[in-house]
Amino acid sequence: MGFETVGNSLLAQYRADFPVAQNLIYLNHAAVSPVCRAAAEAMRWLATDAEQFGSLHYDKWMACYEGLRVEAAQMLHASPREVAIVKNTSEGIATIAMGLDWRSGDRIVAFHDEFPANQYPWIRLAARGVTITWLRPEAPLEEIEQAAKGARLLAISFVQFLSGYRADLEAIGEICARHGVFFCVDAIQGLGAFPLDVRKARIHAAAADGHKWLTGPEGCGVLYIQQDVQDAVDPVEFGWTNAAAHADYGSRDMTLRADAGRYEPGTLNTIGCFGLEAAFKFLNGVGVENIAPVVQGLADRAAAGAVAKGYELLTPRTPATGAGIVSMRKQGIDCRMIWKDLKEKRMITAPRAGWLRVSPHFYVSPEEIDAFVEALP
Amino acid sequence: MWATVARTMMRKQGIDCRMNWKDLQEKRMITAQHSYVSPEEIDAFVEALP
Repeated sequence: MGFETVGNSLLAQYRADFPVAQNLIYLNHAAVSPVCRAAAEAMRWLATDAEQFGSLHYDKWMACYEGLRVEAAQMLHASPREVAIVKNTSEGIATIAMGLDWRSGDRIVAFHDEFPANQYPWIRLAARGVTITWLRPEAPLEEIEQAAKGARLLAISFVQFLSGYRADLEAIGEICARHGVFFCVDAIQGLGAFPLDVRKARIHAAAADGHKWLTGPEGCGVLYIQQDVQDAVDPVEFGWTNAAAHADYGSRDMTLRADAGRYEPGTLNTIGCFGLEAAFKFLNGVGVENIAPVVQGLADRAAAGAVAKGYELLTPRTPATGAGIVSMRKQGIDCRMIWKDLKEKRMITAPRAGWLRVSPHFYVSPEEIDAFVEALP
Repeated sequence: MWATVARTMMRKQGIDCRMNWKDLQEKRMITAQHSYVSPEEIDAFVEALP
């Protein structure tokens, strides 16, 4: 899906939802996002409630867990019964990697340059006789299809953490469906900024933490797992709440919950759930389809400005493959010095593997991007 | 000093403990006590038991 550069039409309406903008030019949503106002308010409410009333309002906490599933499902175009609450993306991916019934000789298609969270769990399966075919994330679909033939699973990120390359998930999902391959997506660098329809993309599992493009807190995320494959993914992290009868403390019936809650092994991160539910609700209200062209436009603007100042981009940007991440460098200048200098000017970016990475969200103004470009040496 | 948690399990013949618990909650008493609870509050709790 292509997103052409447009002006930031959402700025006036939503800028105040990000108080961080009063303090900083924040271009680091690919690392840790500031929490949106709604998420901060929800977490403050829970903190006060727990302080003043203990667990008296536990019914509201339970309602929050359900609300989080509903809001996440809405953004993913899934059912709330397909959403498990996890502590982070890694836990979500590991749930799939450890839960499938692997056989020696099984093969996975994975990708170079991925964040370790989407490599290590697959590499560890070598101990069970599983091999990996490695491809470049930018590999042509024909190459991906060739590799997918006979594979058991394909794991790719929606958006690459360093290059910002956005995968064509619908096309890859079509390939996986054609060859009976389990399709697993690390969605953290795209969810909240770019539309993700797990049904259209025929994704079996996708995981994302709250603290990047979802503008929620750290330590609370979601794992989407398609209802039809839940019986094929064994919940290996097992505690009292995986069981359907978990509300009856006297029961010892370990029959699994009938939905994705079967992957939740115990008490949840309630304050994180309050923040993440509010963040999902806020972004669903804005509409991710409205956010995407703005994020694309801001990143395009940063990339064009940097190139005009003699910077090299890690990956070329196109409407079909661009996202909110731009990594750049300039001959003879250490990116850590640029990052440090920008920080002193209250502009937040990230140094990553020799590149300066910028990642603006939709509430950042085009003028702030221009100020960042102006500040580049 | 580390707080200690005291837990006492109790029931009374003929009374469903969930009714007990609900009635106590309406009186703003949340069962299961920690060390910051005063002896007087424990007495009030016992007084409130049917």
